Amino acid sequence: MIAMYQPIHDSTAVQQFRAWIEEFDFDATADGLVVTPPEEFDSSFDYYLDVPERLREWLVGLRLLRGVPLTHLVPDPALLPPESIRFFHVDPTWTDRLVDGALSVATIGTSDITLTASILTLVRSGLDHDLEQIARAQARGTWKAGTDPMTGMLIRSELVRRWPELVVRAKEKQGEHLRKVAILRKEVISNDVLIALFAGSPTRVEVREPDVAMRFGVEGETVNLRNFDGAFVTDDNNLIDIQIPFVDKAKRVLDIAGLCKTIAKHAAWKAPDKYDAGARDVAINLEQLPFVQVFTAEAKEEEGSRGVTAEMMVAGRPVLKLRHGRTMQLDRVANRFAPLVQEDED
Amino acid sequence: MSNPHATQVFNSCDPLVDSGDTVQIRIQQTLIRAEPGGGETKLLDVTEPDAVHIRIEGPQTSLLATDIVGVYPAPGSDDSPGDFLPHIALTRRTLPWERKGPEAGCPWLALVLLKDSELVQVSGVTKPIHSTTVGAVQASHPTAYAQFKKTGLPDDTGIDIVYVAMSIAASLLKPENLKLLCHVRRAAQDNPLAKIDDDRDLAVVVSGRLPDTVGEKLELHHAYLVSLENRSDVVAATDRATPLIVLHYWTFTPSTGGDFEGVIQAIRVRDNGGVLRFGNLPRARRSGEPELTGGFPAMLDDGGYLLPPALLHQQTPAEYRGPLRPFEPGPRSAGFAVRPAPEEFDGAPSDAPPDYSYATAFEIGRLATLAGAGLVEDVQRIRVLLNAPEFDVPVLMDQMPDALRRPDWVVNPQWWADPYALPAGETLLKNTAQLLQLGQADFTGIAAQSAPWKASVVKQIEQIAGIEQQQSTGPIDVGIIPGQTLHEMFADVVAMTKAG
Repeated sequence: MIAMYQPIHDSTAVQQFRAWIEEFDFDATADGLVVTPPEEFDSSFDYYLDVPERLREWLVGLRLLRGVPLTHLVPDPALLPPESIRFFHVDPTWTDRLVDGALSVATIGTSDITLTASILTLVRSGLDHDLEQIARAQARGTWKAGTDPMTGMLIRSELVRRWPELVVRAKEKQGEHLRKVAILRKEVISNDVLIALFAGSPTRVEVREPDVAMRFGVEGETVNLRNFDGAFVTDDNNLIDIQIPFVDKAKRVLDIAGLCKTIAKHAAWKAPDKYDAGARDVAINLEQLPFVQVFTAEAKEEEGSRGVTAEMMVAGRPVLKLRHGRTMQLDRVANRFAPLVQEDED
Repeated sequence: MSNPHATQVFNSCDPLVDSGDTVQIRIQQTLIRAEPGGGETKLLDVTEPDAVHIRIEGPQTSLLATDIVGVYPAPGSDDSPGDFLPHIALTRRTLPWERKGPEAGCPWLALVLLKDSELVQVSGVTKPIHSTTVGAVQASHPTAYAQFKKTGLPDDTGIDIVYVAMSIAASLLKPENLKLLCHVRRAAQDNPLAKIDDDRDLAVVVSGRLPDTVGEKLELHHAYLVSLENRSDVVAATDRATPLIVLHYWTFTPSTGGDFEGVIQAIRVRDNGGVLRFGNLPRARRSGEPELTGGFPAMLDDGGYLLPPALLHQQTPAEYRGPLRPFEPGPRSAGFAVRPAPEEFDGAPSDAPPDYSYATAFEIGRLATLAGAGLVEDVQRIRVLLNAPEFDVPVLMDQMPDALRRPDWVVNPQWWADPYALPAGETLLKNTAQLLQLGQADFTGIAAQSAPWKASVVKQIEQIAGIEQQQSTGPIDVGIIPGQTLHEMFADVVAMTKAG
């Protein structure tokens, strides 16, 4: 290394450049030409990188697999069949290579390569910092991009098509408590595929129905009794179901006045028959809250896919039992997805 | 005080005056002064003699798009579960109570849900909406016409009509139910509804009928927001079908595909794809098939490589793994790929298929960036900049003692008081009186001293240059000066005259 004030002429410059290059390892591997810089640059100066904002956003996106064709994320359709959810880890070297490739568009010669390696080091740490900022903005923690795991979830389902704004939350166990895990990316990437990336390894993932404005409905032929403030009324920690009366069951016309009387009768917050229940009570009790599906690390993996059992058969047809006695005929659902399955097989 | 973060629900919002009614506004001004000892004195009590007459107007036979916040299910949709009731949200919180309904206290708006098969044939035509006029209803449905007229509708008023079979109307339009199917909702600030409606107050009309998903073939459903203004006849009518004025209309087909809960719960059940670790296949494992976890057959190995290696349109198989792995991958590589090098496969072991994984990533990153607008230019604009250390800027101090400073160079209150005084009691002025009286001053005295010096210097220069001091011509008195003298004084002029 020449001294700072030593005159530079042809021989000292070459000498300096050679010494600089010798600090790097060059390997021709299956990945292409891989340059490994020294662990720490010996620089007399404190320098930093000025990356145009548009490019920075693009590179952060690459680190989050934006712009990567779905066929390269999922190299075989069988890995993500219709109506499936898959959990995975993200290989940080793979995403680094995306960024390496992006920055290679300005590389021309050997000296560029060496200089690029030093720039790449700064870009990589800068992108790590940006990803950590995204995580910090959502959740406390010390997650280190590239070092700590990045995991994720793929959903290919009618869920995505019908509820593209579905909410994903991730948490991890910390002692007795659950700590929020940041969602680095949650994006619909095709008609029925959604990807979510987590800053860490969550032990609990919640997929929640999006906050639509409002919906009213019944759960089979019942609804859960609610208080005037919307809170569910419980009896010994159990929700109280109230029966829905019908004016004409065949025509599916509800007896709303009868329901209102039932609400007033069951009302725990007032003396029975004295509470003047009205339209607001009917609305509160008929309002349907978003459903939350929870996936936990404790669940047995073999429960993730099971065949139709004898208990699920009703009148010779497979039926899925839902909450509050509601059911759903699975063969009808399967019929809806048949074209998608055929498409994959083709 | 209401909580802006909570949704509030009210039974109704009755306007002070119904639509169509006329009211008078009379203005009265009163000014009263309270007296100190109690009592009060009326200072002003004026009542305007003229009243202002106002007629309250509101929607009666149709709605504007701005009157509607939204409807459920979405128009044209085919994915609403059968357990959810259709509803419509209106921007005017008073709208359902602005007119008189079929009976006292009953809203005048109702949401009627009909299946396609329940549409009534009228004059040989079955259609969901009949566009007509009020007067045209008179012949076929005189009772309904009479009710329309009671509401003040002229015969030529254009209206959309739906004919509802009495068998359905009797159960669907019971006033005791209709009273409970309209309510007012004040949306929470963070509710999506709050962004649509400026005052966050909405009137909601809910249908009392669930969509039909029981049959094998799902029918198109028609949702009508109808007017029941003064329609006390709808339940008691004996006609086969009764006409109702339609203010808003949309269609949808309900779904047997279930709601959110049903769809997500069904994912676990085969033939659906299951909730699995990436790389597992959602079926029972056959004998000899590799396993990843949970007893499922594997499509990826532990490292994420495809099983078996893909052919990828080559004669020899190639290894590939994407960025998604079934297990936590190894530590991040410290290296950087700086160019793709297909030639490295030349030296690859013959018994191992080439691994295209990271080379693929590199190429995707490169090609995607090349395709991105302006990204190549951005890459070329990456600059490494030095963080220059901050240092104190040196300041040159004036070391001159005060005694050497000219008073007029610096600011000093004492000097300003007498700017011509010197420290030793001397003054810069030669003649103070001359300065004060005539405004002239030779501050330094140099002018006076230099005058003789200047004359001496000029004289010496003239001598050095051989210049003779000429006699000044002086003023000429042409009355006494002789001609000879002029010739001598201006000899050159005379010579020029003679020559010319």
